[in-house]
Amino acid sequence: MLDPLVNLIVELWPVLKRRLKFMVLMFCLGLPYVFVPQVMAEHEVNMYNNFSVTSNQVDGSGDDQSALTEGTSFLNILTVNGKGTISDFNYRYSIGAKATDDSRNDVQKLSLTRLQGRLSNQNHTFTAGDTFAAFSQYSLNTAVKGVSYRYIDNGNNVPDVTVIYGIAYPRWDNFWGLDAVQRHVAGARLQQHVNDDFWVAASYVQSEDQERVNGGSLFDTKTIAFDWEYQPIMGLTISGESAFSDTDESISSVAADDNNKGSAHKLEAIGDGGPSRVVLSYERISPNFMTLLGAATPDREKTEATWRYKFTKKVNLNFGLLWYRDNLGGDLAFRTDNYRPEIGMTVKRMFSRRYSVADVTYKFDRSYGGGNSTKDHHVNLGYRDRFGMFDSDTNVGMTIYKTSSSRDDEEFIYNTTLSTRYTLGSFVLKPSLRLGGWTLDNDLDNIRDRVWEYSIGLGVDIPSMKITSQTRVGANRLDKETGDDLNKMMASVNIYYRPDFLEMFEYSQIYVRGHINDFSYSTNNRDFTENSVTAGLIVRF
Amino acid sequence: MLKKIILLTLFISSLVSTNVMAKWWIFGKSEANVATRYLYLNDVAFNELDEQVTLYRDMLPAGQVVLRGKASSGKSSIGKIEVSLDNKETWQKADKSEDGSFEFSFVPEIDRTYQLYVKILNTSGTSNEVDATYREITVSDSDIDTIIRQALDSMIQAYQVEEPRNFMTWIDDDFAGDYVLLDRAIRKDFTAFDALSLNYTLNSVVSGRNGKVFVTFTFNRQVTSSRSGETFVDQGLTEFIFNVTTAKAKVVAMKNPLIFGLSDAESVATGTVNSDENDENLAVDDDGDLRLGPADGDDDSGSFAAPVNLSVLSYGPYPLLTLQFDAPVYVNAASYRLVVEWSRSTSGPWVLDDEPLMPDPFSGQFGLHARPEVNDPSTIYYRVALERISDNQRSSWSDLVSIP
Repeated sequence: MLDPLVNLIVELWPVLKRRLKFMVLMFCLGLPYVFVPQVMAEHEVNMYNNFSVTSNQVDGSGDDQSALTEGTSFLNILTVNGKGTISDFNYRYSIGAKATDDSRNDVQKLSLTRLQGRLSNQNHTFTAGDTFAAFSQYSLNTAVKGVSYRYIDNGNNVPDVTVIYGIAYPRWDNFWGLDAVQRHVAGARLQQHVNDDFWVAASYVQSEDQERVNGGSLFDTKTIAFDWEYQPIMGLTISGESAFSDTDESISSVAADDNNKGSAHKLEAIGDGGPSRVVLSYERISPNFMTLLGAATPDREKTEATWRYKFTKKVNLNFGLLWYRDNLGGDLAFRTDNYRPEIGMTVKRMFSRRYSVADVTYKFDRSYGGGNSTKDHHVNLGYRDRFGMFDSDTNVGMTIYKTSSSRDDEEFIYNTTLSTRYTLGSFVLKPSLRLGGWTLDNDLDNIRDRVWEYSIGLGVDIPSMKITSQTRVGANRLDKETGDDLNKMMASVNIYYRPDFLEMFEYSQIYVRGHINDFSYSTNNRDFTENSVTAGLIVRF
Repeated sequence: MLKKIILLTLFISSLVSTNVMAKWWIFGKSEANVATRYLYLNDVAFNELDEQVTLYRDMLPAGQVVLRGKASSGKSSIGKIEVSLDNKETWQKADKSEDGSFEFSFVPEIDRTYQLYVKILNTSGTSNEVDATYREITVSDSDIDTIIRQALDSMIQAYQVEEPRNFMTWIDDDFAGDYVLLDRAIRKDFTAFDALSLNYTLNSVVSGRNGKVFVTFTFNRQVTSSRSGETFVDQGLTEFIFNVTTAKAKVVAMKNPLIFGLSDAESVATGTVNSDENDENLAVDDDGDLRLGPADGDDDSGSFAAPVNLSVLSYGPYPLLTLQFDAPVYVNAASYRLVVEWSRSTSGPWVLDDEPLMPDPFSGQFGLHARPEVNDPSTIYYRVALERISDNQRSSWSDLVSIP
């Protein structure tokens, strides 16, 4: 009796499959309209719009190096959020769009940036459109355009359940023009609270790529993951995850698929109590473990330990050790081991000064393998304090880079900021001075490169007129022993004004931002100057 | 591998079971018997929260702040559990179950600051360490977009003025690409870059479970290489995941194309954004040189750009031949080897020549013995590629030169 129906589905399936992304899109677009009109009485809508016009001018023979688009362009960002209740359900939706005629802002002139509807009560959550149902680090940790449902148990000893289906496009424009691999994602997660101290979860995620883009690979993956967390005693949390992936990679339409199976495991213990916080973690990810939707670095075995200890009320100590290595499958020509120990100390109220904070850190980078050897030392000193009405923040850092027969560099970084705040009648003045420098000594080639920079800023706020502003002028000089030197002069002005005549809006702001950058190289035909002015209006209601 | 996991599990278990109250991680400093076994604020564990907590109206479940926990009281029974929101001036009873679990919720006022403490008293009158439960809670009216913009603006500002300490305050302890490696990578970025200009516009901002927020944004960037002085421009679409459970949004994951930590993209990025618009993005090689390439930013994942401008610097007396080219990356004998092929025709077949010795330091010039076939009355052609020693990855082939 069901045969005709089955036959019909079988016949229509290829067509349905081709139109699947369009159907998902239509479903997402239509969802808010299904329930919004029913509940206008309890409905709240907020709109945010930011419209700006920018005028850029780039002069000089090296103007092709500028990232600015010459001429006048506009950018408009619109977001509409709504929320309300239907019976015992809360709902929310969000729609966003962006329009611009400057391809540096976006390759699309008009974009649908977000589209989401969510309906939830204490137990059930339905989401359509932009859906971020993060399962676990290795299995699913990215948003998709699709639908999800989540059931949360509230003391009934039934597992929490999440199911999701969608397409892992990074933007809605991928549905109607901008190319991206069409990655269909389906998954489910069960999470069971065994008792108050222990929960365990299982996730299954499957993805299938369609529509090859620029001759790139297509992947079909199946990932199963188990994660858990256990708090055996107060302050101690042990958690872990194990995931197994099975991936088919299609390099081209004529080549046979390449199948890879891999696994990833993670175990972490966090002890947190009194003055101490200790974290121990171990991770092992096989070379063939592939997660297109989660987060993992393949071919890595890693152990990490950190200890943060509040020695006294004024002194904090930090210790850390990270070790990791590759070549777990033995396929590479050699294995590389990396050690990254570090130690740091922060001292507050030094010399009985109320606002002083000093910190010192030492970090060591060691890696070796295949005849290569690297030993880098990083030392950093920082001091913050207040002298009278001036706040100061100074940092000095030194790094020694040593790589066998290819690098022997010493690097110094230093910067200091001095700032204050002074009220003069109805004006609040916020002057600041910043000085910075960087030196790199290459001892192998006997080369020294330097950067000097300074800038002076003045912030002026007029609270009675709802105006804030910031002006900054400065220079940056790159001195290179070989290659082009660069002198960069910069000036910028930002003014923000909340006018009374726009008080009908919940929030409004008119802003003007301008900057001038002048790049001058020792090879004159690379010189260029950028002038940019942006005026905009933000309203929210 | 499984053996190591089991051993580590047994090790941790042994620490737990040896002496529960010793608590090795607080080094002998004892705590009261009366305490919270666990404590969550809107489903986020207390120990993951800073002392100052900002909650955002948009992310409150049913507009409420919910405190949920479980008390333990040693050998005595639990008497009462109270919560103060006003710096211990007044106390309100929490709903308590027989097993010690409790819940307390309130509808907060926007922009008001609550100074929260939890007090547990057992029937003997002993209290927990109340001050250890202190959290200053503020509920902000800011929408999620504003919070994310503040975080990105602050990170870009710190990155542009090269303040690693300030920058890293915006990175979550649970950063998926590893906090320590990102810290090292941005310091290397600061060595590699100068005069950075970076602009972005948000696309989608999607809230998930446990305060996680998924963000996509387009960016454009202009930067000068401090090694070569060359200026690079690129743009693209990328994705971040933020954790919005503390006073500010902190990054827990970043994908290629990266805007931070490019110097160790392999460790920092956890994935690549699936979009055709990311066809050419900035990358930094092991030596700190910049280049434009595919968005995966992974030097080890495939071939790299070819040597260009291959030419004959000198030829003769036979068989002395010196070729030169411009390398796409900083090349030295410790990391790369030269691969040379020759053919009688521009269309091949190509034959592998003896591997020429790469001079150290390498300036783009190298010598080799010309093929004896060059003495035949015909032209022969050469082409060159670079091969990275660490993983045997080979660049594309250069253009051709002919001899004589």
